[in-house]
Amino acid sequence: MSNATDTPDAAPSTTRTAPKLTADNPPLTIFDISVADRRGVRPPPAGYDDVDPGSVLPDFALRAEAAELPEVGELDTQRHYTRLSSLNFSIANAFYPLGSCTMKYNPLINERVSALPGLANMHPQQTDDQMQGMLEVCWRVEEILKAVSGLHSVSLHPAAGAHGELTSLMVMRAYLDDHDGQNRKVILIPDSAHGTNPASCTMTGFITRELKSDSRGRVDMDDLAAKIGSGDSIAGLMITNPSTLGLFEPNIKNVCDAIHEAGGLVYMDGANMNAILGHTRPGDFGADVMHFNLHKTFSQPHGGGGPGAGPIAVGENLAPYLPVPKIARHEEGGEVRFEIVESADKSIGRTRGYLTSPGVMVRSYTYMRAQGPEGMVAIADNAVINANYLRAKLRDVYRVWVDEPCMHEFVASAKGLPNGIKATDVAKRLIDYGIHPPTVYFPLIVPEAMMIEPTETESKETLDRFIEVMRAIVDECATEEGAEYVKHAPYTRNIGRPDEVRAVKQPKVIV
Amino acid sequence: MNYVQNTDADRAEMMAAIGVASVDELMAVIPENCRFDGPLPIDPALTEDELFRHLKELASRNISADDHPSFLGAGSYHHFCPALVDNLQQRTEFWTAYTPYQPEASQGTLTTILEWQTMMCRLTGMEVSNASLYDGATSVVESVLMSLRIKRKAKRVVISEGVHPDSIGCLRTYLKNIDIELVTVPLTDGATDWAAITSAIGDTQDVASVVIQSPNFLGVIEKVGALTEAAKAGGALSVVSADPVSLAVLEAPGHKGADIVCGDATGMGNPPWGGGPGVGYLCTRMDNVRQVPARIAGETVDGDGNRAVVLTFQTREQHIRRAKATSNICTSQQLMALRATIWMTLMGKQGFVELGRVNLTRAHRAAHAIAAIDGYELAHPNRPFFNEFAVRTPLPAAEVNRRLLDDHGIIGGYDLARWDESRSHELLIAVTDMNPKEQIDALVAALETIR
Repeated sequence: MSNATDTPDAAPSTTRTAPKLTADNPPLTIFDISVADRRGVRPPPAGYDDVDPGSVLPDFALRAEAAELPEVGELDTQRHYTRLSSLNFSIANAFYPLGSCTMKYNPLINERVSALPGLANMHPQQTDDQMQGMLEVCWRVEEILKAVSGLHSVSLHPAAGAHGELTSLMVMRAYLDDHDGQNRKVILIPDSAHGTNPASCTMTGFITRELKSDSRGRVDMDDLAAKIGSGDSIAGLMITNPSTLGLFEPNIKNVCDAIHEAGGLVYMDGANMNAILGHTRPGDFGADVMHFNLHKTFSQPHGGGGPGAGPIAVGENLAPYLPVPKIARHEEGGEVRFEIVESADKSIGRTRGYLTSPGVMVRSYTYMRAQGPEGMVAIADNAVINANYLRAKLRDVYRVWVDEPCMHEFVASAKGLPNGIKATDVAKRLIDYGIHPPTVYFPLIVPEAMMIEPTETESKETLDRFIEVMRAIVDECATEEGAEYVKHAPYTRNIGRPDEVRAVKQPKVIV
Repeated sequence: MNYVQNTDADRAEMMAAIGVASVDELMAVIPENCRFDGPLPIDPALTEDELFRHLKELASRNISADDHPSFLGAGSYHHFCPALVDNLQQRTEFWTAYTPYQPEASQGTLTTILEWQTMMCRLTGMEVSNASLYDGATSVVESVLMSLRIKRKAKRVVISEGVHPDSIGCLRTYLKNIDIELVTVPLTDGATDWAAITSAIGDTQDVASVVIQSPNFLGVIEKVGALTEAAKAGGALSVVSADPVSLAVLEAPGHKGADIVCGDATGMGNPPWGGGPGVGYLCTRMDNVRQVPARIAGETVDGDGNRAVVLTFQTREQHIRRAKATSNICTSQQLMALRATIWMTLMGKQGFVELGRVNLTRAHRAAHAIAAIDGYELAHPNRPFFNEFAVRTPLPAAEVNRRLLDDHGIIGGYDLARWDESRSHELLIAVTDMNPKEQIDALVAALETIR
């Protein structure tokens, strides 16, 4: 058996010959097919006599040995990465009912416009007058986000959802400090929240206190009152609405009012905005600040883990504290001009390089403009219908944690499935059927959680097949033998379940 | 046009299965007191053809390096990008995939992360890299926060003013809320002074890290070894921000005593995109692995002994540790890191060095020619540089830039008055592999007329 566990560690990085590759030992990384002196693409010639680095740089600066980058030809590079791509699930080749991630269709027109040379090759240090088109795209995104949030001002600065949370908390901190709230340090967070919420709080010096969910997965109003107490220490609340259970918070207005009465601010995690577009606006139910995940709601491709974008919207009270740089629009005598404002009195400052990620903004802008007002509502309607359809068709075989009409997603539990089958087993078996697993083991308050979000862009046929497969997996587990088989899934990929403990105990984080 | 595929008949059938008569019944979970009765005040929908025309028109209002020679750098650099990078990145299996939390369904992405980590470690002389960060500025912030986790009792961070102003700006914003003092050290003739760093550190043993950038914001190559030594002597960690392309000819910071190496890797295979999406990186030694922020991929085996890649050391991360995580970061900049990985592969060991030398050669030839123009001189003639240098101009730099663009169609350098008001007559000029000799000649000829 050509077992990697029995062979010595892979050759050191300076190996000059490729290891022997066999059917049992396929190449893993590009380094496995690297051969000394092989060339990929030639860089352009200097066009001058070469300047010898030793003649213009001091010895201390000179690189002694060239970095051992791969040495692979162009064709084999193409084959290697094409092969790697074939090992991925993606929206283009599989249904992705991944709760909380909103894996909707990524329209190709967005990609086409994002590659327009007049956009992609803009340099961030160009002056405002040279980037009026780009600034207009960004300003228009701000206007649309204001419209759907019902809030006063938007910043496109944050680079990702969690970064939007962090930036929001900094804005909240600055507002509180400016309003005699220096001692307000406690942020209340429901126990169903994303992990990024408490992590962002820690990074901004806040203290988090967990709010219990009631038996229906909603904020427990008694616990809320108890945790607010006198209210003196309350900085605010971070709430995801609809929640990670896919449930709209029925008391959201009261919850927000209670926080405001205590002198705190309400931050809304906009991860689940897809479900409520055009039906309700966070500004209407009491949010002071929220973030958007453009890569969820507005179809910026997930890219295998980024780039995302996490613009934030705030009420008028928080607007002065938004980060810089920001966009200003001036209109004089019918002429419109956009400006990048680099500093503002009360602003928290910058939290990343440059204004924003225009490459993300242009994709989301194109997506938003394909919708119009009716399209936005249709997104929410169809996302909610699709999720409820799955819930209705699966609830007799999988326990739905809070079995009530849901919004864009619902959480089922694998607890109680026959022969000790766990959520992870269902997830891995789904892979064999060509379906990406749901989000599992989250939210933390549901045992053996499977969080299912179909999005609006899936057809009924796709949903029906998913239902059929989910039911078939339960059937497979009816016998001990069948369950044992499922517990070792998947069988159809280039690897079986990897040993994650070994990856920590014997770490190998570079080749 | 909203990409919904289901028909009215589909919806009717589905609602019958749910047991509701209309979608309003489902939406009734939103209480009356927070309903929005629309319509949303946004422009009407456009079809695909209309969208393309609209965006093309907006794009045409920009002046881009696509049809103008550009000598802008100041943290973002244009570099040659082979067609194959676009082709491979455009495989939908890469760009429409989710974060690789399910390794059996994500070996493609995971393997490219392992490759990226390896390449970044080889460039920087380090032992572990994360899967990427938002950009260069936040990579500096995350490096400093990491140093504060390692030096738990520290109260101060020392940073050279040669570090990119956005990085310093971000750091100020982040540190404000956690009660850490940021001490800045001014430059001496464009470079960070060893003695100034040593005196800023002092002997209080309360400095978490010393942050420098090389080449620094003015393009000057710092004495990395001496500065990391100064940090070490003062009981602090050293953080070195470096443009990875410069490491084609410059010594790896990891070989010069750096504890954490970070920076912006956007220029490797990614267009500057007006500021993003970009990609940052962070590398360090294996001893620090548990304090590294964001994702890390690692090699392991499956039950049959097949080599496999997984996300590892996940107990550092927010989805497990929540309030006690090393960072709140959830995502990486995977697609940009993928482009950089393929770019580094295509450059290869030799091509990467050659590309670095093209930058060095062209920048030095350009600097020499510009300094020979009456009224123009190098601001720091005694300092070594890679592909960027500061030039004193006879007219205000803003005026020089305006005339370069209006009269010669050239996007000039970075006006240093934006960085330091007192430097209104200085331009920071970047010359890369994207500026062939004709462009440099045109720039020099133009500057000869702007005096």
